[in-house]
Amino acid sequence: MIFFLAHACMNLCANFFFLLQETNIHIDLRRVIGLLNIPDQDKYNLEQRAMDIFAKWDQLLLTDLDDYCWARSSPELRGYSMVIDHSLVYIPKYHGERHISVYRESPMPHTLIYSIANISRCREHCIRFGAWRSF
Amino acid sequence: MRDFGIFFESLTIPAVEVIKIHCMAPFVPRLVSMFSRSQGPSLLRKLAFRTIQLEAGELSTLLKLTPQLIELDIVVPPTYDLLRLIYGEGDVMLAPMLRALYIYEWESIGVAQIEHFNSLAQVRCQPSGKDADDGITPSLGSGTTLDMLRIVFDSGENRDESQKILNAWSHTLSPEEARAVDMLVFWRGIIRRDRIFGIRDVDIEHRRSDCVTLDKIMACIEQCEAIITTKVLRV
Repeated sequence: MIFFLAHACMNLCANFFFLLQETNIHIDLRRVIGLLNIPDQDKYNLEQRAMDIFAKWDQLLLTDLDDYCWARSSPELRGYSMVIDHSLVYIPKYHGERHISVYRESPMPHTLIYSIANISRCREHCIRFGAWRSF
Repeated sequence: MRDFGIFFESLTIPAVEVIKIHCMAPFVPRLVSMFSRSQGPSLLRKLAFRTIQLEAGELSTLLKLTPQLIELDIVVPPTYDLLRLIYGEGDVMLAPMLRALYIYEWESIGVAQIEHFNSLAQVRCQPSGKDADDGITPSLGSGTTLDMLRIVFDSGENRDESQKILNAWSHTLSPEEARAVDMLVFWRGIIRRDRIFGIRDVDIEHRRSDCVTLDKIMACIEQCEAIITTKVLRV
């Protein structure tokens, strides 16, 4: 019975993880929640519901960071003053002896899932955690 | 500038370190010719260009003439050049000092390109001595590893689709899961299109309306979780 429940829970996690990867709804929802200035808080209880949802999702998403070798990147101003908005950045699984899982221990582990911050922030972060070679 | 040909033909720039060109006309052969004319090895360190016409072999030829390059910002090159950027040409490694590579992709990554982009990433971003997971991807050997490999897309949809393909996120969905995906994709479209809560100082009625929308989205997500829970418990 315990084995069955554990197996069921694992399936549930895996399936919902696939669902998030397939739809990316977590990314847009987090952006929207960040902008909230909610009226009628008692009526809908949106903030608490969002926190409950993200608590579950984050736990789920952070267990599988190996799946994020190509991560979304935040907008960046460069080149001909153009804003690079829609881009993917490659995150090697190994840098030196450090594994990509270093992001789990970092103060901003969500960057890998929601979007890698701009390059300078990424450098600071990576130098601090030794995941990247010094720039 | 109307005639790039005349411009490049009258130019010799042995000491130039940065070049940025945004031109739809084919100009890379002229650039190659210019570097060939300049005496001594090129000191070019940063090169950025956009063009819709890049013939096979042009980029490789250009990179052979610019070995000091540390930053390259280009449109997605033909497969011929991409393979040479990964594996070199004969014993010669192209752009051996390259630290940052930006590739602009007009559309979503095609199935045929997945292997090339992942090989490029593994060979040129992975420090030598630490082989890729497959154990057969060659390490870089001499030369630097890339600190930055970025693929730039023209839309968020193409970026998202490419992320799934490159990370090999392919799942066979059951009918229940497919239904849940459809619902979530629909609501995601609402969030993106309507930009709910995205405007500052909107009136209270507008924000109330956004609350109703968000309430429906949350309910949908909770319902999706319920669908999957039911399905799992039924197995």
